[in-house]
Amino acid sequence: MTRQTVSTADSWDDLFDQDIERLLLGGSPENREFAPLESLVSALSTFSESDLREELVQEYSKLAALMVNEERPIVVPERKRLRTRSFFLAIRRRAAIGVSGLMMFSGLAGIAWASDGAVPGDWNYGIDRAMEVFGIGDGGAQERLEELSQLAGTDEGKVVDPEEQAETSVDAPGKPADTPGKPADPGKPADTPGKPADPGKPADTPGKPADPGKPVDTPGKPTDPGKPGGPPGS
Amino acid sequence: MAFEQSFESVLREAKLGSTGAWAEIYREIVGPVTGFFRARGVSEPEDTAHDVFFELSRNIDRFDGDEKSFRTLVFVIAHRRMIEDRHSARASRSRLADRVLDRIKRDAGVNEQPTDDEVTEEVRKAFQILTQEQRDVLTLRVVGGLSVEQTAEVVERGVGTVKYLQRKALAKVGGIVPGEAAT
Repeated sequence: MTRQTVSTADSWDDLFDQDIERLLLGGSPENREFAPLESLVSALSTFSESDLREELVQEYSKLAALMVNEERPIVVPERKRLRTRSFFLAIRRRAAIGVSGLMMFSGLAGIAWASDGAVPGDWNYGIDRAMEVFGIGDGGAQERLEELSQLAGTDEGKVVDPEEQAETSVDAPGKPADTPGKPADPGKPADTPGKPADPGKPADTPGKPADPGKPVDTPGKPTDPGKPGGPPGS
Repeated sequence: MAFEQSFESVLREAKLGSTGAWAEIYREIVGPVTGFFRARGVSEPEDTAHDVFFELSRNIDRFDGDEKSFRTLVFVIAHRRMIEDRHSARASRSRLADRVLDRIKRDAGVNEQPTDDEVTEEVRKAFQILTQEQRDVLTLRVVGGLSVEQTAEVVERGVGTVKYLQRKALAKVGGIVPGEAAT
């Protein structure tokens, strides 16, 4: 056997293909290097041989004859069904996301609305201030004044005079601040006008101080006889 | 493939639902198709070959061509079945065919599991070093008895690609170095 290298790939391929065709059709290739492949092709070709049982041939043939022109049942392909299912899943997922988003938005809007009137000390005052940063709610100096008014318990928008507030607090520490000018003196007993004086006590006229230069009339003590005004006949 | 009657008359009778015509088609195609499935390691090769046969009967009305085209069509269906089998453990079958096949198998006592002897050691070793496409092409050419053009149609590749695949496959199996082939 002479070994010869084929110069061009095309020529080599042509020779190779010719031998392959001979080989695959069950013939013997000219190139003896293909000889080992003959047994492989032979082994492969045995796969097509099968012992057909006549009763099986008849059974299947009858069935095939019955199936001719048979209306095929409408079967949704697996891939199509999967696509349909995934379409509905996607719709449901989007709806769930949409509803969740709506709920979240309405919840935040509710909190913002509820926090708008918050004053310092309220749990949601921080939220109110945060919302104002984003331009939600009134905010500004006006709202701060309103908050102060609310905290002071005065009318809306009315600023309390600190001096007046302080006086009120000092004059009537136990009384509410809305009764100015009526101070109560809890430590001094109230004198009741018209109340009879104690008979055992020297008469004390209210508002009229006793004369210190004038002796006090004492019962049982003889009065001056030379002085008129004594009791007649005594 | 050699029909006892002319292919045209077999096809005409088969379209009319003749059992005899279908028996002739069965004898011609089931052996090679089963062999193709066995060589390619398809699960339940006989059942799958029968599925191909039934699919052919359901679609015979739409076929119009010669014997060569008919054989190509048979292996186009077979090749698709093989790909389905690759992707799923169980090839899809029609319910009717399923029930009938079960009954026939039970009655005939057919053992559908291929034994190791069926796939010879030589083929197994050769196929181990080949790609899926190379195996497909070789099997279709040798077991299916298809030409390069028919094989190209079945595997949905060009004629040049099929030639290249079989060349590469045989060179690999035979240990032949391209460019140094002896003449």
